[in-house]
Amino acid sequence: MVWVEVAVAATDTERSNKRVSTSLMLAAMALPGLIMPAGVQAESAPEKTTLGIKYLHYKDWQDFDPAQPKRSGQRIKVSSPSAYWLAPVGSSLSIEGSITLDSVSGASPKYHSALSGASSKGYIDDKRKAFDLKVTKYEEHTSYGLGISRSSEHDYESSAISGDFRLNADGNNRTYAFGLSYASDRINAITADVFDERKRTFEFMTGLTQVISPTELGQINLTHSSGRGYFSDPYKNQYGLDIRPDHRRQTALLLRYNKHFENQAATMRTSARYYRDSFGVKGLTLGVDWAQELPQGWTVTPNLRYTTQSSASFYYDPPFTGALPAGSPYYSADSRLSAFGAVTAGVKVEKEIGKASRVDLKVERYEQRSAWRLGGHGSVGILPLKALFWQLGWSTQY
Amino acid sequence: VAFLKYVFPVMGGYSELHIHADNEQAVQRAVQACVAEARRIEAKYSRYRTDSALSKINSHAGGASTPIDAETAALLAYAQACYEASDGLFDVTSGVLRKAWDFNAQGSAAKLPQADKLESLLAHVGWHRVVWQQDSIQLPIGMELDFGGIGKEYAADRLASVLLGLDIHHAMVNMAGDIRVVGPQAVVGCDWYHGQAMETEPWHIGIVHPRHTGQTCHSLAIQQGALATSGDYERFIEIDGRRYCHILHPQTGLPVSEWQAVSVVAPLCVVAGSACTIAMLKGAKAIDFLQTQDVDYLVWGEKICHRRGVFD
Repeated sequence: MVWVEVAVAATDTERSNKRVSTSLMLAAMALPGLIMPAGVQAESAPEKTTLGIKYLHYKDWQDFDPAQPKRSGQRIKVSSPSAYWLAPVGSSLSIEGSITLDSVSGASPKYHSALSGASSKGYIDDKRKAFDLKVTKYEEHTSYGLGISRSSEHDYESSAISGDFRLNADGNNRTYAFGLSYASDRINAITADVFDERKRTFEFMTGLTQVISPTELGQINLTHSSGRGYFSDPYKNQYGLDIRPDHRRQTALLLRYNKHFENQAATMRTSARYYRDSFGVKGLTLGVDWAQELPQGWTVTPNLRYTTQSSASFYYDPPFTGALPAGSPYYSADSRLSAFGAVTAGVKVEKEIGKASRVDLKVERYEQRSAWRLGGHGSVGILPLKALFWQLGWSTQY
Repeated sequence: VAFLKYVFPVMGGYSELHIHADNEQAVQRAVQACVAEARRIEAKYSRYRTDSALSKINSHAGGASTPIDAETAALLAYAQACYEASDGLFDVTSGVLRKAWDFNAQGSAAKLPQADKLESLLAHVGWHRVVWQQDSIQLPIGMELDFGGIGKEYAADRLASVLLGLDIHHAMVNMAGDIRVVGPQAVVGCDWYHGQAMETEPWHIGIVHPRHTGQTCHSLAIQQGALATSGDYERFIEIDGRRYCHILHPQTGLPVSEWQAVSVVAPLCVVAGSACTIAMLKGAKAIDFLQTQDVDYLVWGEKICHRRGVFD
């Protein structure tokens, strides 16, 4: 821990002035065969309660295109303050919870560069409230968690319940994890003539984390979810543009490998995620982080992520002809279901304040382009989407 | 990666080794080397073994000088430093005072020592009267050396060196409560949902509450360095409701009573161990002493508790 060295340095002057009597430390250094630790790296116990607040800001846009003046420019802006709290209850139980308040404004996500004029009706200005609560019980080699969460905005309500179980084996070098969750959503988009539509989703997750060596960690997670109900975008469907199947099965496989480099005081985190669903979307995301510890409690973590995905089987390139394609009951022009490649580059700067608090600032820039799709051309007729995300956070333990 | 907790009896107590290494063989090799080193130090400096180097010195008290090796001379030099730093309170010749006290006495059998017996023993305490050089030592008649407060702690530091020599950087040595840590422990983070898996974690060490048996009064996370605790609750007798502990003042022969326990965090265990013992002996001046030594401390009294550094 870097802060200790700082603390030692700060007291050096004081120490040399005060040390009038014999220093035990100096005397002990004359004992044979003793190796001094690299620095007295001790820190206070992780204090019992953690409190954190974050402020997230997101905006995305498409560069102005004089040929399509209505279809470019600023789109969504999100401001999202949140608070997180974790406290132990006794020695084997913990309770954690969080509250998030999102305010979203701008053109709706239905924007599609070939849907002339659609933006005018799609302006949104919404607030979303979300909270979750989780209780975890720890035993010697296992832990059990039970959680609930709820979020609401004016046209969408979601409630979910989840449970997880973890088992530590092999002298805590291996952890097996299993999780189950159920979410029930209700959609009421009055202006789009969508009343009380439902969506229910089950999710199952299983994972294995393994310490490969004292400085290496591997993880494999498999997630599968199955949902039934209303998957369409109510605002897009208003124009007969968005009719999706009433069920969706999603599978994701996540692999992680982390390595700590002691000499560099840095940790590399890599991940690969493969995704496919019953809509026909297949995707791959590769990511790498480099967390570099610096003197005086600073940590700088640059990160880079690349995503590529194929389009859904019922995604159609613009322009919309006004009629559903023959033979297909489903249709969507949602650019999130299109084929594209995307790159995220960012950096997170963290600073320890004292022993128990830290402040962090994270900035990420995202760019999505059809042409960046791996091994094939992406969907045509979509302007590149760009987004900027920043987040300021503070957390403390007491 | 292999992990092992190994417990073995040594120096009149139980020692614990927690070792994380690349493979099972490396762990086994480390355990064997540590046990061998601990037994070597025990065999050399135990007062209970007649064939130990220490017993030889003691048995020659009042006689000819005893030859000593460089390691023993270094320990004597450290004992000298402790004596000077404590203004004569930490005295490796004060062990004879225990002959006046029976800390194993139960209930009403517990009694105060007779004044004349204590007086005669006090005549045999005094490090300044010991004549020693790099290669020999001569004790006045009736005097004894005892490396309590140094020996076990020195062993913890030596075991740490053994582990580092075997390229082990995630281990903890616990010599009956005196602890030296060699790097953080390797653990599996298990936050699968957020995916924030961790690579290493500090060792979490609880400090025994001096009055509430089975409870801790503080908890520390340590990745490097050492923690030692000295207290009045390990060995004591009670007479008329008053506690008499085994830490004896070298000038009066009476137990110290200012503090219930002192814990010290320092880079080396031998420093932490001697510093907390000296603090117990220093009474009201303990805080000044610990400040001067620039170590982190938790000083636990009946009504007041002093903290510094990692104990804050």
